[in-house]
Amino acid sequence: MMARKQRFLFARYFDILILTIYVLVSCVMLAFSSGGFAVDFNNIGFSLMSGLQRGVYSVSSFFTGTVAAIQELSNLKEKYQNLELRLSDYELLQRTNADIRVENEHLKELLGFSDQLTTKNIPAEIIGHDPNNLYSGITINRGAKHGIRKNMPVISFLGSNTGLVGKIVKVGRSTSLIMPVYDYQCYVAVRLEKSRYDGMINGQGNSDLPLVMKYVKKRAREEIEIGDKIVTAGENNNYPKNIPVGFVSAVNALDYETSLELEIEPVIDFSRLENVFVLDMQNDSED
Amino acid sequence: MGKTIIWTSITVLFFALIEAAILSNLEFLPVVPDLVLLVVLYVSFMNSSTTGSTVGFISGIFLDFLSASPIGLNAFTKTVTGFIFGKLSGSFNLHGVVIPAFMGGVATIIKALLTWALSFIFKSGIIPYSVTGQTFWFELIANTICAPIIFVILGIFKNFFVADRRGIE
Repeated sequence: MMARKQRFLFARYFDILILTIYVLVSCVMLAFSSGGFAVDFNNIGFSLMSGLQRGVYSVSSFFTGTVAAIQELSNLKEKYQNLELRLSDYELLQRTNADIRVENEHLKELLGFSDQLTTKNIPAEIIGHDPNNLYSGITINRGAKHGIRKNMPVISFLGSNTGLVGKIVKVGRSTSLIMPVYDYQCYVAVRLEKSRYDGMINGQGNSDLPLVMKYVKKRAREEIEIGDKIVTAGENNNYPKNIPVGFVSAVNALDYETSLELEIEPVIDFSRLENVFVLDMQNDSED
Repeated sequence: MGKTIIWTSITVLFFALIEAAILSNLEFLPVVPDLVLLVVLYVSFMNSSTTGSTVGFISGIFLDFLSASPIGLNAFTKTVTGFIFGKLSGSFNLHGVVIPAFMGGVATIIKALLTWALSFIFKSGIIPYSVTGQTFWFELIANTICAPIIFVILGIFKNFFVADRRGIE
């Protein structure tokens, strides 16, 4: 009778038991991932999942590439017919030539940037973004096997300008996750290039919103102008010194605050970001 | 239940990868709809709280691995959401647009509330939704719109996702 009652109670509350187990496991993992633990479950899982993510990206790139190729093929056919009809017309040829020149210049530029960097760098391509809307992780196609390690700084180029992108926070075997400067959790020690006042920059979680530079001495107010360049301070060797981060777009000086708060427009346009360079500062200093 | 969990795990893995590798790259989308949450919702509601919490936990772990969020955050929120909707199993008729859309909206609010509660317990790394921020409202709208569509798609393959009908329809 007692055993039957126990079985009945077990069956009745089985779902609550399961829920409790899952919630406990989730909490333990949360505690480990926020507090640090020798076994990094996060990186093991990231390696597995981001490998798959890379696969999906490759497949989708293949299909978009195929669609683009078909489209291009049909365009070429049209151009060919036009050329057959108007052999003497060199206009189209000139335009194609110009396109190739632009593409060539772009490739040369990228190659040149990689060579220009004095720090050892690993070029990478962006393959995905964070599926969670509150986080801003950016996945790249380079990982531990390419020499990437946690906390490596990441930069990119826009036109002829270098700009800070963020830092590596997760490393898988063949992919890594970047925390960009506009993330809520990203803090970078920076300074005003001209007046040399220090501060700390932090994102607002969205690439469309300006970065916020805090802890700038109030006496700097007179020396700060809109458009002043902000560069990395290079403290603690987390980031190389003097990498541009952004430009001052607004100065907020509140009476009750002891420091200034500056709004910073990032150098990098994150909506157009495709290629990045991961800097290997450790190997560079060893060399 | 085993078959349902296996098929749901494969499906949520597929949706998680779609979210991370394709939808997140589309510049015109202000937010990525939480398709994984909607799959968990459907499977929980069509089965039981045990199945709901199990698929919620598995799907959350998949998302945690792909995200910069601390591991366990998505697992926690989706486990609890799966459990709640599993408890409501069979309470409504899922046909039509209104009930699935309403469920999608409610699940998003539950997720936001759970994230907010966790941000008090685990201070480091957990970002709560802001009621005044765009992200929460856009995600609420996106999930509300996507829920009926996802429910219809999953309904076509009902045999894979429903272990025991128990007169739900």
